[in-house]
Amino acid sequence: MIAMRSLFRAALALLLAVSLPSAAHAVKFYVDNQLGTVKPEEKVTPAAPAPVQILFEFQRDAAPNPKATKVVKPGALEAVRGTGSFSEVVETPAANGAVLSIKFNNIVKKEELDKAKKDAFRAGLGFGLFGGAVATDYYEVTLEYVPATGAAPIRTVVSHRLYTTFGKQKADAPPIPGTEFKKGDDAVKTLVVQALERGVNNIVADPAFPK
Amino acid sequence: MSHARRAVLAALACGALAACTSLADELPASLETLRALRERAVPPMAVGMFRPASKEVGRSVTIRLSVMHAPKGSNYAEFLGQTFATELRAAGTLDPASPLVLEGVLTESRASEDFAKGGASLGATITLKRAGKIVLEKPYRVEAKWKSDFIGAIAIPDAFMQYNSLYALLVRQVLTDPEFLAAAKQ
Repeated sequence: MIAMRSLFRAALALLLAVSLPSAAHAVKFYVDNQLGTVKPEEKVTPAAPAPVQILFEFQRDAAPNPKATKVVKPGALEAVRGTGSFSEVVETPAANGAVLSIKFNNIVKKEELDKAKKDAFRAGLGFGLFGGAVATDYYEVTLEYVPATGAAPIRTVVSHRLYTTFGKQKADAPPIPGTEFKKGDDAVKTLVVQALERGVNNIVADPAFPK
Repeated sequence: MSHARRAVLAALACGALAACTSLADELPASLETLRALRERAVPPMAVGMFRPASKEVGRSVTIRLSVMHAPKGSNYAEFLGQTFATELRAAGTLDPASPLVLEGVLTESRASEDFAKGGASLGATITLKRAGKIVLEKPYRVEAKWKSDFIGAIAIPDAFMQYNSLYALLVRQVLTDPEFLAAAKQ
């Protein structure tokens, strides 16, 4: 599960390893509500979808993260196929030379990581009953589409967030601005689909996209 | 400390770390390299032999008793060759029958951390031959520095990721080097 691969989750998992099984400290995942799915009225469809070669890279703080790339790539390719904007989505050179590069960058905020580790340690000592922890994963997804060799790339950047909570949250804590998922895998899948659906739609809507 | 005691401590530490060995992951091709190769109309080339300068250089990398090996039984020099092949294949410029052959000697391969900071470096001498004649021979080197963590569950995968990603960075440095591109087109 890619969410478990982040620094936040690694810190949470380790620091909470001593806790006992209880509903009080169940881990919950939330996909941020701000981006959402592309609405039918927003959707732009190319008149004649063409094939495209995908280059996908997962990064952490802009550095390649090969392990996460391997885990996320199949879902990312499916998400691009699901948009219906391309006639064929392949990893080898496409006949028309078109390329779509996707860089899925997980940004780590140092001060938030340190706070998450502190909160998680405290929450673990109290088995999650007397205060919990919230970790936020920030994603910046950069899509660049090159319609043909030598053509200028069309570029768009989509931001998204994944929240993970553990233990009982304080009564006065602000609500998590996201949609809850029981499984981390489902949350990550939804996040990837939403980010790529939006990114591909931005690319297709660009005036430079071949009509 | 006796060997037996060291072995027991190592085993306990490995148990605590859950996984003591892992394999380096294959790296994806990049748009930057693909564009450089296609737009400069670099001719297709073959990937020849990649070997380590010494046995030690091609070996696995160890961080806090956890070990990362090159994938599929290869050494790290061969892994570098495979990473070149991935980039060239994506750009449509990999041709095993080409008279233009890319070869390399892995001269440096290192990763370490001290619970506060980490560092890794990778170096190779890259040779480009046309019909057996050397048209370019040049050393390349990349390095990474990062802030490490006292928690092993964070520090170990972090160090492995940083080291693993150097292969992509080195390959991109070579394939976008104007001197390399000019030699390939000679």
